[in-house]
Amino acid sequence: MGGQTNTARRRQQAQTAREKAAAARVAATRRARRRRIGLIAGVAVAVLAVVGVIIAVGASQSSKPADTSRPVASAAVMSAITGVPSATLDSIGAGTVSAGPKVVSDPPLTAGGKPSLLYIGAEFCPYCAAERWPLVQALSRFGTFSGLKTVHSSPTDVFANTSTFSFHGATYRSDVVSFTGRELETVSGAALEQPTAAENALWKKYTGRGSFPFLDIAGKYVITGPSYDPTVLKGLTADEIAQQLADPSSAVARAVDGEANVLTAAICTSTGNKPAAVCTARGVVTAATKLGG
Amino acid sequence: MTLPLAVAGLALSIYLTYVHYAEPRSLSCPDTGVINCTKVTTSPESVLFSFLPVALAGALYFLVMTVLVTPPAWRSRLPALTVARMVGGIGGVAMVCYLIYVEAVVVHALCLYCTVVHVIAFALFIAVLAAALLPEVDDQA
Repeated sequence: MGGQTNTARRRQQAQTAREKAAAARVAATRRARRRRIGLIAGVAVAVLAVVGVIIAVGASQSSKPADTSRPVASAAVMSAITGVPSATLDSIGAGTVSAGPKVVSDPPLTAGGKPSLLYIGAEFCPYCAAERWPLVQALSRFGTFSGLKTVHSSPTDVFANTSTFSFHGATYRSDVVSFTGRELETVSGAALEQPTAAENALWKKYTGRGSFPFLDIAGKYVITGPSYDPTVLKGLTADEIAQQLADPSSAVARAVDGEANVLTAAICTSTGNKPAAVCTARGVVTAATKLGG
Repeated sequence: MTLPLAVAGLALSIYLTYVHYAEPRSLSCPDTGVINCTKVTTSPESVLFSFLPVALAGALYFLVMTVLVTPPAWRSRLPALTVARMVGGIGGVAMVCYLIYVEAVVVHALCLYCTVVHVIAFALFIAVLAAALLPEVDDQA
């Protein structure tokens, strides 16, 4: 009887020990699980902290003064380029434009359901500098630019320091036409923007290895070189160029306004001659004779 | 939970890749102020090593991760798969940090679509980490 009691006591003690060991294992497992959850949470917090620091750095940088190497085009310049009197434009026609856009037969270039223009150039490029003046003027007849900056072409290239615009960072809105402007390099030749694969294909198709400026007008016309002699802009500031656009006797107006009329005529062939007031203007109709030439 | 995340990341990345090649300016996203998808997706930094669009790299990444987090892959006890999932998760988060740096510090604009992809990559990493450290949480469940 006494032996049975001792055996039962020993069994009970062993059972208790097993239960304690199991409880200890469960507790250890819970502690390990808590540690791991803590580790996961710590990793998540660390990643979010890194992201927070990056965003804080970006926010502090963006609050610094804007890049002064590309001052915003003044209201006076924009007003002058968009406000050339109709009489001046009509009397100039194609002006002294030496080469009109070439006719091409690509699929229509469109964006957002509208005929589209693709410009590819570089801020250092002197011929781009010359072409931007009539391009901005022509497009301003169909819509509105915002955020246009002023730059000058390379100081070490031909037609050095030609005053002009940069399409980098600018936006263009129009009900009838879309515009994409790519400035691939800065004045100093540093990389600035990159064309998409489709844009690159079009550019290389007409310029071989890729030269500036390139302008594709809705898949109907392309411009791959200077349209007028940039000498007329030599030594002039952006304000001086802009002010001369209204004077039909100035060489600047005959070149820039003339090319703007030619570009307008080319764009009108894709917009169904809309707006009519723009597309049927005498200067534009006269300049249309340069298309394909 | 990891599979829906990976599939969602893959779908968004494929869309961004399509837009990159077809019409970079057609993203339906505000283009004013800090939020400017077009500015981000057409910046020079949107292409890695001058040939690989970031969107395409993202699509390839999520394609690999999708394969790694399918139920058969989770059921497999191959150590290589566990390591690959962890490396993928860490690599994804590291890339997200770099891309947020580019958006915030270089381009000074945020792309909403890209941000959603970043959140997905981060969540995917945390889910993979949780599955590795807490076996009872893994995707076999």
